[in-house]
Amino acid sequence: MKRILLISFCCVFTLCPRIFCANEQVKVLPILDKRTVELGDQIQLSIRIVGAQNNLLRPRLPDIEGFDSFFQGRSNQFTFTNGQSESTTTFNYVLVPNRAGSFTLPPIEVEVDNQVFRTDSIALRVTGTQPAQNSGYPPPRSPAGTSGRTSSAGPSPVQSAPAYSAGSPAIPAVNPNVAKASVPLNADQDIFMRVTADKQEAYVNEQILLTYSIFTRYSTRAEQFEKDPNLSGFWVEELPIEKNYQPEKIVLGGLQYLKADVRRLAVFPTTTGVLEIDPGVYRATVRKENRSSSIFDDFFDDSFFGGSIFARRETKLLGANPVKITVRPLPEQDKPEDFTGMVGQFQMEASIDKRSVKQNEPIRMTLFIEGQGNMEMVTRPNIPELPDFKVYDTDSSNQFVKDRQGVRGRKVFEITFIPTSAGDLEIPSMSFNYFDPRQSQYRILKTQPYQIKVSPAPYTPLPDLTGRESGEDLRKTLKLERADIHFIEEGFDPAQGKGRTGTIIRILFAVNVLLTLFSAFFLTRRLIEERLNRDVAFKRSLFARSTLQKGLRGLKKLAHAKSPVEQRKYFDSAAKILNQYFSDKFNLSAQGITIDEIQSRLEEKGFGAEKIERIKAFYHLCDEVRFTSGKIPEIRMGEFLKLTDAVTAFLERK
Amino acid sequence: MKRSKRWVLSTMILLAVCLPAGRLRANDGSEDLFKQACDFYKEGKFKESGGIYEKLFAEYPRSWQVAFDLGNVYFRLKQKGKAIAFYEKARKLKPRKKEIRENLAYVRSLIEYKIEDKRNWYLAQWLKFTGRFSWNETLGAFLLLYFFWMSLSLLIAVRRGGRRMTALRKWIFIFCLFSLLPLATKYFKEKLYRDAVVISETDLRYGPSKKDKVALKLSEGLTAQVRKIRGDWCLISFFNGESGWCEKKDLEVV
Repeated sequence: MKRILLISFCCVFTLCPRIFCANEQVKVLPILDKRTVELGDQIQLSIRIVGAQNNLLRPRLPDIEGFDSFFQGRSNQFTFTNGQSESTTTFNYVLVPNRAGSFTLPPIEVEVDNQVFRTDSIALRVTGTQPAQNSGYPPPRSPAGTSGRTSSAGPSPVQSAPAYSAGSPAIPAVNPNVAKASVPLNADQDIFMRVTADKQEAYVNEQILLTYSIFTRYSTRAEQFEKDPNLSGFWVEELPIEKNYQPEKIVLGGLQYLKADVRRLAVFPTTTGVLEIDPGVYRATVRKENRSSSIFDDFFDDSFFGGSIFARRETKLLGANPVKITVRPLPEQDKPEDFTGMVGQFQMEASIDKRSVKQNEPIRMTLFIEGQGNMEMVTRPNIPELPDFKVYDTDSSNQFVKDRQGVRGRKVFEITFIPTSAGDLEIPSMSFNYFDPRQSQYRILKTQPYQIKVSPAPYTPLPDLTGRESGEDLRKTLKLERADIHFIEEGFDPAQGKGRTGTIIRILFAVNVLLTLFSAFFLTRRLIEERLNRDVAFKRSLFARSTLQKGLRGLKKLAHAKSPVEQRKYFDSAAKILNQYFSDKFNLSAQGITIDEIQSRLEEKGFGAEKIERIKAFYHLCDEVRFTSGKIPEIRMGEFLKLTDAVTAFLERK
Repeated sequence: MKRSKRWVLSTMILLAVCLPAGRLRANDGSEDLFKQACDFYKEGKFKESGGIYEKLFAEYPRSWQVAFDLGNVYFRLKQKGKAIAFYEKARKLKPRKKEIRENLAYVRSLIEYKIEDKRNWYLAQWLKFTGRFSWNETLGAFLLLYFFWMSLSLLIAVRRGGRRMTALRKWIFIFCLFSLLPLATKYFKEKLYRDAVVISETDLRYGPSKKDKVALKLSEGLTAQVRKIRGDWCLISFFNGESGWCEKKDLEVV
């Protein structure tokens, strides 16, 4: 039971780190084609994600001060090396500077399988003048992490003889960096390292294969580079060592060694001259026991790279002589104008999915470029200006193979052409050129020109003018063959252009406003009339004062009468006016109203007794003048007006 | 009798003053310019023709003929966005003109992208229906119905002295109310939220500045509705529900 628990415990501890570190293989690399840019120019930014299988979302770029950013698409690359595949996804952006100055590209977040990766900040500079010099080739990038140093020494033969291990007569002085290491550089002739190049001379950007081999007479285990090789001036691609690789036996100077390749590189020189490769220092461990008698017997029992982990081992640091390679410039003679710097052997094929389309219908062209050389640098052939097409890069994919022969592979470009006009159009030939170092000449590969028949865009056909649907009618139906816009209108009415209709509408609007006002007036009036007609007492009371005022205006004319007839008429009218007022206010008949009734009504409303007496006196006076022929008293209009004012003020208030 | 004579006389004077005003202004050389522009078009000198038409359109913004011809000129100059914008302007002024509608449909069929209409079907149909009438026609119809209703009401009020709602008055009133609906639709569509056409390829951004992120790329000829204007930027929305900010210079408001 204890044993089971122990085994389970060990298993958990062994497996857990692998589970938790599942994403350790994912690498996110920001790649910029330049860090200094001129205003008006642009920077290509690629975010390369290596090792992620799926769930890759497009990284959202943060706000970059001084730049506008545009997404340009993504590309996927699968590399097959010795049966193992590696997936690389690259998201491409363009950064366009909008002002000069020094800026920082902030960290970019990439989400892979719900885990967020961040890149480092990168300093960028925007100049208002010329941009930084660009060699025309990509900057040297080395997976091994090389630092920049280019030899300017004169030509010298490239190392062809085997490089000897430290301590051998040919070994150069010990590198001071290595000397600081705790273990001294190896001086043992039973183990040494050689670095060989497959060619001593090459053209710029031509592939050179570098092989690191260890020769040993010990039971040896290869460890790692103590000091990385310095490959400045080269674009470097790491080539894998085969999984089932077996060391070979080799005899040197009468001694039998076991030879094993520990590293292979494909390097592409990016500059001319004599370039010196510092091979670096490799660390290996050997078994301490002296096995001189049975060493060859044990080679196949004890793995070169393995060995027993319990054996006592000694560390050996292995150096090698620098490798010198003469890099020649590409010849200027017969150099194509649009040469992009590709060196190697390539082939190109193209195909399109259809040759007869309708206007605005896409045509997809697939372009394959395959060969041996620096495939990373292969770009889509230029497409000339096509006025009748819109051209889009739909997709691109890469398949690279890295093995003992170097780097080779295939790039596939998918291009979409959308015809914007109808007719017989042509997608012209596209060319891809490269320099063939074997033949020492430039070669141009061309696609064939494609003739495309483009029919007009779908358009509503004209109506069937025959008007018959019977099968017996053998006449052809009139159909629209080509569509175009109708001709211009040649009649012009300036009055209409100035808005005559608008004037009519404005007049109509004004008339409607007037009509509305009139209607509102009549309606209000009608409503008031109806209200008054329903309540006669209210109506009479409402208009009593105005009737009185009207009567008084007529009476004023009689106030200055001289003739007795007119003077009598004054008193008669005054009595009538007052009668009318009281009858309207009390809703009584003007003919039937009496002084007593007026008195009682006024008393009811609380009118002053003195004033009532004055009213009564006035009525008596009027009656005397009206009904007797005696002396007519003096007309005192003022007094009468005061009396009426007092009465109206009291009754109207009530 | 005297009063009615006075009314008739006033109305006649008003009409005599207002109606011929437009006719009197007409003879200002614009017809010659229009003819010249047509001649340039026939000779294939589209740029020269366009210059004259533009000048005329600035002076006669309600002339559908000039807007239509400008649409043709821009189409010949391969500026589909501007062509669509001017056909739209012509269609607003003369909505049932067959040639305008067909030219517009043809140029729209040539643009690269189409926008999926995600509006409610009844709203789309209603807008299609109201689109067959111009703003002036809709407003005129409403005002005319209102005029009839008011006149009848006034007549009844004056002559009969009552407020009775006769059957005719009822119907006119109902039509009057119904005509308010298309009028309100037209007001929202043509006065409040006007259409705009993208006249050059541009970006639709999340905010009204170039610092804001690009939401999507707009191609020439797409039609949107202007929701808001802030400085040199317009907030526009499409029938598919997408909206964003776009520079005013890349749009032609219809």
